[in-house]
Amino acid sequence: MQTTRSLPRNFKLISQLWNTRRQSTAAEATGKWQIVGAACITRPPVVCPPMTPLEAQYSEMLATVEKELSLKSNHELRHEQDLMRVEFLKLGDTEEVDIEEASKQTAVEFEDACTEELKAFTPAPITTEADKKNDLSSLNRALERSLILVVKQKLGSDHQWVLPQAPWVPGETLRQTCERVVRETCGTSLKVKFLGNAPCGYYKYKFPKQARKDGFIGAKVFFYKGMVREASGNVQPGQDVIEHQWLSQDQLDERLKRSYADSVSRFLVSDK
Amino acid sequence: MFSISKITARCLPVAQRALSTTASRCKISFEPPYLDAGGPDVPEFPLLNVQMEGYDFTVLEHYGKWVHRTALNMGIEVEDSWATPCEKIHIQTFKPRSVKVESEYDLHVYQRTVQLADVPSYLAPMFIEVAQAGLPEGVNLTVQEHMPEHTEVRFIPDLELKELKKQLDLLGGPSKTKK
Repeated sequence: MQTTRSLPRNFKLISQLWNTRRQSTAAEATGKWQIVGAACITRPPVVCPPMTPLEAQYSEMLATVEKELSLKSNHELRHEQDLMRVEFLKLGDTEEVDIEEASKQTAVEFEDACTEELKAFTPAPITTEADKKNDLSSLNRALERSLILVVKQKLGSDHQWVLPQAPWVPGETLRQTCERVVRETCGTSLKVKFLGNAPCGYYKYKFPKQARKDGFIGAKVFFYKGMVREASGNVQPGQDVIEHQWLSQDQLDERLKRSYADSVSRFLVSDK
Repeated sequence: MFSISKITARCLPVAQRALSTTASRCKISFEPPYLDAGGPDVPEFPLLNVQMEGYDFTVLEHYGKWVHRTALNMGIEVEDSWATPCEKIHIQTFKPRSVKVESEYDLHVYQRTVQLADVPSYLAPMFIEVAQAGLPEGVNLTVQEHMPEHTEVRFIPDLELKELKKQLDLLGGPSKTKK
């Protein structure tokens, strides 16, 4: 009884198995893909961008409205009391005047001292030296934008402008691969903080026919995002790296290959 | 009359047949699809504290509200959000080589915290990145896992009670006799 009922079910299972076996042989026939870990090292913006004309106008309007609706501050009240005291002294009414208060610094004097101190203070410039020289390899440039590290790395026999990458070695996780990438291509002085254990992007490319070795027909690149601060350290280019540049997002599209730039731009947070 | 041997004699072939069919079924390993329908087990952060500090009160408050709203929009459960009392700093600059005060400053460092619960590990880096992208000038952002010290800081110390306890200690401690 049991065997007759299970017959159609077994038949379904066998046919499923047969189909999966056929598919796996199809994949093996096309070849293996090399797993590559790449590090997208970002320096977030240091300074807020300047306000657009509309934003400046609106914030000015809000400031005036707030001032009109606000109550008088201690400083303004003190100024009014000073003026009243001066009036009383002119009229000769010394009884109502507190002489001790009169000898202290007036509100106007205090304000003048503060403005003088402010004039003496010079804030750091927004356009740095690297901006003026247009030195793309320095971290201390374009303080209003976020910068991403791009290197001219040796891939096979050719040098390409890519995000620093290295093939995955069995026995380590992909994130460990990316940390190794940073050590090898940028040196040990650059302190990168990777936020998560999962990759944020993916790009697949095939090797040219001469460069296909170890049975790999191509590579699958998994991108990991890492953060760096402007005082984190310098990039010391490693062995396979000729040149390195810190580029903003619109400069990336010009520097990288079209399809690669598309994959990269999918996981970048716009800074405008 | 029933005998145990007769019962076993009758049950044994049936049991053997049942066992043989289950054994053959185990050779073909098949799991029903509904077991994997929910997706893989994603590790989660049970509690994350997003702490924001700054000197400018209005900017900090608005940023705190924005972070709260962003977390809700991303589908992250917001457990709690609170403010801790500000740290008041009084700074005096002296004239060179004297005790005369040149200028005095009163600075307040305000703080806001947003606590997130059960944040999936793939969503946490994305949230941190978005929070950093919207960070205004003058605000420091810290993201930490929740520690007991963070709740301890929120309690306002009872100074009266502390004073009474101090007095008790001076008098020789609590009475040792049981009552």
